[in-house]
Amino acid sequence: MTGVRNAQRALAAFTELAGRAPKRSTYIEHVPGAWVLVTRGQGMSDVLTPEGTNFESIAGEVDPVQMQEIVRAHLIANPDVETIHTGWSRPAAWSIEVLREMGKLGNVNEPFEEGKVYVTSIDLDPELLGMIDAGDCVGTIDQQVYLQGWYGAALAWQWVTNQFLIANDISTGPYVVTQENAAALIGQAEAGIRA
Amino acid sequence: MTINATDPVSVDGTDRRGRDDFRRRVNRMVRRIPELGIFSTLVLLVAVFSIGAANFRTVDSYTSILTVAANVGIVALGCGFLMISGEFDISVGSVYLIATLFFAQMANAGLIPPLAFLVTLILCAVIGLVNGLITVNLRIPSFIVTLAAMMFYRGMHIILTRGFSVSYKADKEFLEMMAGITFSLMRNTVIWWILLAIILQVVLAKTRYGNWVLATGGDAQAARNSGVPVSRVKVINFALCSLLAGFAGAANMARFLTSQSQLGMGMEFEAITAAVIGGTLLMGGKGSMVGAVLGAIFVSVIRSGLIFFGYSSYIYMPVTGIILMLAVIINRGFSNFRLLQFQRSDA
Amino acid sequence: MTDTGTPIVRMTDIHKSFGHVQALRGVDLDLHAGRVLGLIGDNGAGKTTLVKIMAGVFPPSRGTVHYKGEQVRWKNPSQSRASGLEIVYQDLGLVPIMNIARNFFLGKEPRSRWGFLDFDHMATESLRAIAEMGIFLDDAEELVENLSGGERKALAISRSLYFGVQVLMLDEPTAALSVKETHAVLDLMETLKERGIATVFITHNIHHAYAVSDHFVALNAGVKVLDADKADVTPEMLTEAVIGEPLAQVTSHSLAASVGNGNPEN
Repeated sequence: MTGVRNAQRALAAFTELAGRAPKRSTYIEHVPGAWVLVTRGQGMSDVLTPEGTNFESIAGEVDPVQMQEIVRAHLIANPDVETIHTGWSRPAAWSIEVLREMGKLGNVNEPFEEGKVYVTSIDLDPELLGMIDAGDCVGTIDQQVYLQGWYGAALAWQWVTNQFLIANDISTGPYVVTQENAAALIGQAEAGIRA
Repeated sequence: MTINATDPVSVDGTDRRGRDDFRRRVNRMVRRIPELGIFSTLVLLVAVFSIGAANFRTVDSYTSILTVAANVGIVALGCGFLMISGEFDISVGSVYLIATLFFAQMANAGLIPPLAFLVTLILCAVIGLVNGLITVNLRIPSFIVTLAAMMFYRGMHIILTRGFSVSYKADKEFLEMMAGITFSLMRNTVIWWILLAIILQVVLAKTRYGNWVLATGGDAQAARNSGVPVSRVKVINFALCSLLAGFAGAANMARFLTSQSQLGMGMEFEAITAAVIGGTLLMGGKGSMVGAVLGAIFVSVIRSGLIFFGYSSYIYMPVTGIILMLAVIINRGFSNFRLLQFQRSDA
Repeated sequence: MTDTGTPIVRMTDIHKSFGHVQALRGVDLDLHAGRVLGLIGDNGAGKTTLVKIMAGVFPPSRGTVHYKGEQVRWKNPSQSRASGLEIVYQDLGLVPIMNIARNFFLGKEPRSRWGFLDFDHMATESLRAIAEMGIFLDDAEELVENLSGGERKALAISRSLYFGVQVLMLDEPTAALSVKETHAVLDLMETLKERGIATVFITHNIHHAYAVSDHFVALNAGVKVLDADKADVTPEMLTEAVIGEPLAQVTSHSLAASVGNGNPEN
């Protein structure tokens, strides 16, 4: 199930910071009912719920103003939320802005603090990449086409036609971007290696 | 049969003077202040949410509601104004989107931001002008004309940007005035929205042009017979509607600094919903800007309130649907109520 | 009935065709100030077409219209209205969901110093003007849709008078009215006469026409089949003209021989 990996990384990151699983987590479907987003939420729930996390999917919006105020209202109404997960980079950046305004934004570089909220996402954009580099966003999943199976298929073709096999295991699934590799990615983008 | 001028008896023998009973007074008040219904419902709703959910009673949550309301509310003003003159515009979401692109590209190209903003508004008004001229001159229903416009401008945005977001890279000082926060409390968009609403409300209720707008939507043929330039009124309102959608779009750009193809999707229906809940008659001839403002706040309160009451946020859409339906029934109910009220005894 | 001299409107040899349909075929018509002309005919006889030509809704295919002695060619109804000719249509040209004052001044709204609508003036003037028609309303903010049929007619007619109408064409003003309201409208026409208005009363109800008109013109299939003073005709004769075959023209000329009355057409 998609979302599983995302939730595992988020859980690991949060546990590292707080020494426990989040009490409450919210996943925002920016297009309510979109199947890919629904299953992603289900995958996250499968990981987080057994850890005792109160996990909830909420309906968002693609409109930034509405999305921000939905997040704000949700956080005022539910002050115990500790992590927010989005299915797209823009809502993550918008949510981070709201959290900053509310003084609730958790940063991975700072020690854990009760009441702070940590954000993870899926997809990348320059703004979010900057936020990851600054530690304001825990991490995201890079959905480059070559990482989503295409690379694996290409290697298989190499094996079939040329008996070529690479020596080490490499990741062919979604590529997790965190503070550790964000700077490298920004560098690659500036060098024109990737968009 | 002759009627003595001192004899206060009407055609059908009913004395219409001095019959100031309670129902009539209530009726007159409803007519003078048609927004009374939506206003009292809104107050009630806010009261219920404030009492029921402690977290709802915070300045943050109230200003948050207004921020959302202002975003769709500015668009709703234009949609409402146009609807009062009897036409529809469902292209406002796309105009809102294309405005973000106009603004960003012109500012990035070196035009000073206030000027880029002004030119954006003019371009959007021209879009409305074209919609209006096609509707009026070719006698095509505005629903179809603006449906075409809706597809055209969103499609053009995707083609022009190839689906990538376009970022604003120019001077940000002006943007702060557009969409920043004043008195560390309120988004400036809220202030712009209220100012625009007041201006348009005065135009609608207190000027000759406003009278023409009401008449055009109420009965275009009758208005034409009375010398009202019906076509011109409609075209001007189309331009105004698109201009306000452009204003809201530019304000969005001022705040988020990006133009992205899915911006403003579905906004046309939210704006029309706000206007209708605020008492705008679908067929035109009746409605107010105060009502459109209250309608936008109402929808926003519902959305927030449901979250605060712990309901699943997915319920927002069906609930809004039901409220829209109820609003239409109530709006019509009021006029039926009035009709009954003055039914002749011999009728 | 005295002869009023020069007609305020004179229509001569009016023809009108819409495609292949000959709506009017050589109709002459005179209107006089302070008199009501009953323009009668069955549905489709050409009554409304004739007054629409008079009011400039469309031009005649052939023939001339003189207004106050001068030949006119109206470009549009606004032009004729500005000169004092107006049609009050069956559906009245009122906006039902607007109030009395707003309807009364629609298109000619008075403005106060700042350019805003002068509501006080609108309210008092509209109620006063309607009261002159013998209809007493107390609330200028009443919506027109809440008025009775007769009250609406009074509003529409008083509005025309207020803005200086001299020739008023009432298109089926008694259609769809109750008996009481019909009487009220017929009373209104007496008021119009007193105020020196030249009125055209378009109807296919002979009895309504007979009650108030001074003179009659009957159309039948686009042809004038009768043109006579009230004194010269009976309701039966009018009915005959309206429903009969459009053959012989009955005019005051031919009737004068037997009755010996003056000829208003001179």
